[in-house]
Amino acid sequence: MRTQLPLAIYVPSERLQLWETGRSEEKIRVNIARHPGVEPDILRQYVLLFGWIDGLHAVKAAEALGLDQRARRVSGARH
Amino acid sequence: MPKGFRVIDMKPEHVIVRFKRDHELLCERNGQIGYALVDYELLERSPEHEQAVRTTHRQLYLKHMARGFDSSAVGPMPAHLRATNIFGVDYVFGRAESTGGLIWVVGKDPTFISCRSGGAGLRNGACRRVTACAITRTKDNTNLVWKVSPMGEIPELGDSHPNAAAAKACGYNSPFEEFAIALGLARAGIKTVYARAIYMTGRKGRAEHDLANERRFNALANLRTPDGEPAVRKDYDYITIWGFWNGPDELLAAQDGSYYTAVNPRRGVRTRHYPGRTA
Repeated sequence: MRTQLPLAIYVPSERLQLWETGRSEEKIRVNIARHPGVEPDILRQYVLLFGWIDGLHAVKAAEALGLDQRARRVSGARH
Repeated sequence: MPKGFRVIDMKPEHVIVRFKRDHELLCERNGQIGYALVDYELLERSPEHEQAVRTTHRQLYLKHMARGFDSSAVGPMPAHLRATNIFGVDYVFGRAESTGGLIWVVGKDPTFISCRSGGAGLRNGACRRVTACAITRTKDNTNLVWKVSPMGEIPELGDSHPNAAAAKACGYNSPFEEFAIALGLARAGIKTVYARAIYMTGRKGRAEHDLANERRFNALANLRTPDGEPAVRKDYDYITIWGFWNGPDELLAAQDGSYYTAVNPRRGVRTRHYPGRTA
């Protein structure tokens, strides 16, 4: 499986208000319970840096190939 | 999607394909369209894979528990762990990176110190000072029993109890003494629950002046960690971690699932678990 190369996680020093993050304390608690070794800060942003993959996503590729909606569904089912 | 993964929000925009110069899609050698996957925010392991991993870890845990004191069967000690011995009991000593706490894992096998520090889900502030036991199940489906050590508190025995004065003068045993006693009893042929690990919290749990009985701390002031720090500290909480006894380690390592069932004597007699006895 080809994936983007993970490069770094950047956590800015600024802490937001809870309403700005839109996060759920309950979901964070569940996450911490599942992964006890890592405790994310609910008030910080986490910026994930990945390597770029050349190419087009499937929707653009289908458009480039001139496939209509039905043909895309059939093509998707085959793969 | 590769085996063992699932994507909750599978979208065509997350699949990247590439065109060749002849405007045909780039394909793999097997003829399938080559693609790469981006955006893993909602990609997760499938429940079947999670269960398979937990089962494997549990089997590994049981296997290592069964031979935890056999130094010939364990691998080399990693640099961040140290072997130590307190009151005749072998431990692997390390630090729980996520909490800053200290952990002593019974035995000579360094393999499972991570299992019993991080995986046990013991966290700063997660425990209050109670003498009752609590059961926890690790991510690897291992049942553990843990208890906050009452060391430093006065045993709550009524004055009419014949041993009240002696118990109050003696105070509760330290976790290290508890483990030495449990393993000593086991060596003498008395079945005890398995002593697994001792965890010192990474955050101070109480002020020194809150201690009702400092005698035990003073008596054990000479105990040191392999790093030279005091092993028994007045201002931190200690948690003893025990196996959830549902069968001998050796039996479960060979055939997991052959669990024993706990029956107290009264119920045992009533249900005729004792051969030759009638209710």
